[in-house]
Amino acid sequence: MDGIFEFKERNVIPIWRDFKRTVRMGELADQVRLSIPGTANIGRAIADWNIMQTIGTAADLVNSAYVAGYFDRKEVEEAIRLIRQDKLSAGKSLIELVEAIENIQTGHEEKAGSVLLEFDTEDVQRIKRVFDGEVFFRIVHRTRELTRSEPRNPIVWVEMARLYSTTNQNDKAELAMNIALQLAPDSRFVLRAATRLFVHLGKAEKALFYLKQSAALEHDPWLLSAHIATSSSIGRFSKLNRQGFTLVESKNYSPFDLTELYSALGTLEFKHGERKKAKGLFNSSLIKPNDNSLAQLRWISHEDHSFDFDPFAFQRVVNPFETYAFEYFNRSQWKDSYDNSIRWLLDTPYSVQPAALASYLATCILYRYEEGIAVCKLGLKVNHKDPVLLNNIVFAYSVTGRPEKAEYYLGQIMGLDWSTLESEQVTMLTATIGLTQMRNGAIALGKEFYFKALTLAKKLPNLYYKYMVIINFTRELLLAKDPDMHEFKKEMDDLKIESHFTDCIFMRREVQKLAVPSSIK
Amino acid sequence: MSIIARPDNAALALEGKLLKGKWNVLRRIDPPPGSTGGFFSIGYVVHDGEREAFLKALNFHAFFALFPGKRVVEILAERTKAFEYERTLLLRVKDHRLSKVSQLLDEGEEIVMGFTIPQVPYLIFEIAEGDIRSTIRFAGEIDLAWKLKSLHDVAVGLQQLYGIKVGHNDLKPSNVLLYESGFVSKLGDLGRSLCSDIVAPHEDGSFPGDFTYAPPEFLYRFSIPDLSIRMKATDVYLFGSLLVFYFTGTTMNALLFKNMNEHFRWDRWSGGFDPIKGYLIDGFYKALQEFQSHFSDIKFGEKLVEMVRYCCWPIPEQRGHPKGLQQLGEQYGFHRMISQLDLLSKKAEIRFR
Repeated sequence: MDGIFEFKERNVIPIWRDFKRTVRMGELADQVRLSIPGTANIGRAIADWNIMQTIGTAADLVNSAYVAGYFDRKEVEEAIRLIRQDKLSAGKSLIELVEAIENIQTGHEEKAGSVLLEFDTEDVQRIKRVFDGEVFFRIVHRTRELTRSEPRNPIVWVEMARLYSTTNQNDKAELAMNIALQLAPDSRFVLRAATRLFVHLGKAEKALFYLKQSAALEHDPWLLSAHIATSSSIGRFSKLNRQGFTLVESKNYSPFDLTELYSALGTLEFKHGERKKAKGLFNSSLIKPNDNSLAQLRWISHEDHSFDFDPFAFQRVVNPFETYAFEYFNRSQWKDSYDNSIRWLLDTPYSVQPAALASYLATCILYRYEEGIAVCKLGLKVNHKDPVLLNNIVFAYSVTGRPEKAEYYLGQIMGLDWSTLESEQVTMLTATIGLTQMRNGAIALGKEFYFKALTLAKKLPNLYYKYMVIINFTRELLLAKDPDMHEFKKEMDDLKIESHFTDCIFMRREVQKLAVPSSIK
Repeated sequence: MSIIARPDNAALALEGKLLKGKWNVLRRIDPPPGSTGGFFSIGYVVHDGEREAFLKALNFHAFFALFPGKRVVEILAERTKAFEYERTLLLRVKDHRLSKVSQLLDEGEEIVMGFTIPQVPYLIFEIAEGDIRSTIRFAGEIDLAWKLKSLHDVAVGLQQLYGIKVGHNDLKPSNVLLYESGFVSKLGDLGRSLCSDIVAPHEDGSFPGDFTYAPPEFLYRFSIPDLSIRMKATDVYLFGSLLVFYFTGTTMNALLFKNMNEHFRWDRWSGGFDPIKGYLIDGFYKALQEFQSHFSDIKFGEKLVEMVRYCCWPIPEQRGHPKGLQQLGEQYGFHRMISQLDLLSKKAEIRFR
């Protein structure tokens, strides 16, 4: 796939989720199990219990056992029984503590599945209601309240920053993140979230500054990978590259702890043309990958087919939505690709990339226009100037006969600073303006824009854009029954579209169906 | 006729003896309330003609059993040193007539012939009716006034110890002793205490008390180097945790443990204290919410929650009353807690009168 929604460049910048999910993903854990430090023992509490059996000694023993992790003593069971029997004296917390112990004993503690989302639904209208309506504002309100009642809790400030970032309140997001960094400058969660936010805001240097300030950086593979990837994203050499190699060779960390570091180093080698080294590093990243390292290799394999691998072979990766969305796309499994892009959007709502892909699939492939529009609106909350989303929403409104609605977003497009846009984006927008004009009946003007788009597309090294302009233009000519339709239909039919441009192949087929005489249809 | 082998332990053979010509050893009780691990000492009820008292005899044998292979002379020297240290602190308490610390009435050493180690060092205390675990209940608010009064006594006791440069450092429910039909609480067991002008034999920078009650910094293998600050920050935490225990039956450590993801708990975390602080604070705020939910009278509960918030704050350097943080030497003082608890206990008394 080579669409406008594909990453031009991808680095293993940390993926920012809410704290609860990040924890459950296992990114913040130490993979080494330790014995409790010091000389924790519950001998004293047991001896006391054997002499005096009251709710007080039961509580003392159960607390000590819980904290020290010693549950298999008969005295602890006796104390638990007494607490259960004497609920009138025990109170809520003590009973809950007993339940917590029983959960540990029976192994009922929460474990992560393969999907971890705040809201898990494929119903876009419902998602939109969540983000537009009371549910989202209630979350924002509750989190804001928490920043007041828990002003020294860095986690709450990071959550606040994430919510601000999701609603394009970037100044406030940055301020909240600054507070979190002041409160916990060595926290892996805070530093990785801050890295993602600052990169997102175009302030990668600031991310590097805070990472560098942390005493944890040099020994924490999760921070080191963030530093290397962020440096790479702005074309800077990280002095910590060497340290990265030292860490992966140290054998002190689990494969999961190293997966992003392997991936970041692999990307570096790949960029330097060291394919063999890159392959070795990426292979190591796959020993126990996470969603980010998997997505990184998916992107690399797109750039260089010699890196091909089967992303679906890694069933234990949690939230592999980005990888799956692109991979299903490549296999022309549109519905699966769409579902995964929606989940990717739910997973990282501060990112426009999933909204761009989902809205493209909804409007151009699946003809689920209302969903496409809803997704665009969600994405535009994060970045109201995103050219891809503006393009997709204008397309959706135009092809469903609502020019007045398209007009508003067309105005937004015209208001963009076109000199800052990429050539691919200019080509795409020019073609879409052509489409709006042709749908409005201004055929000549519309064709003019399409011709202009085609000229631009032909200058691009990526043939995808040329194919897309021709296919879309042909469709509009056919619908308008314009005399040029035969010429363009032939040109479209003659296109030798490479097999990996799966969406071009699908769309051409769809347009070809339009050209079949109605009597045969 | 059968012969029952007598254990070779002089500490077990005090019953019936007259010590220092004054104390009649009446009977053995086991274990002594509020002593450092009943295992290491043997308790007796003694009488001086006027009142009953409690005698705590050092049990060398327990240490031989605990450290098999260690040289007897070495154990004797170590234990004697520890006993001597505790005795010195208790004498200091006695000299200063600290009203909320269990009082030493007498002390000495008895030689009981016929044993390999005939010396039995002992301490005689005013006798307690038990510790708070014998009477406490966690549900309901009927005991509210009593709990607040007891906590007030504990805070006074800790403040009194500060006055003589001692940090208790092993405060836990079993070390809060009850007197006068439970109306008065006193601190017992200075066996693991620290002192800023006498080096404790057990002082090595680690937590000296029962580790399951240790403040989180110790659980995460961090210790403040300055002894004076460390021992005070420790007592403030232990006091806050005790307060939580009085009302919920759970310690702050248990609440923290319960409210933190398993990945961040001290039995899993090896990443040092600084990187854990953020998660610890998050868990602490959740633990506070849980504590707060116990109070039907929100305003009343808020005062106690506030106290727990600054007493049990997980970062030891930032622990203590917020106003005290700006005043040199006041950060870990108990004055404000004492006033607050005094006020609250009086209010509670009126409420339930």
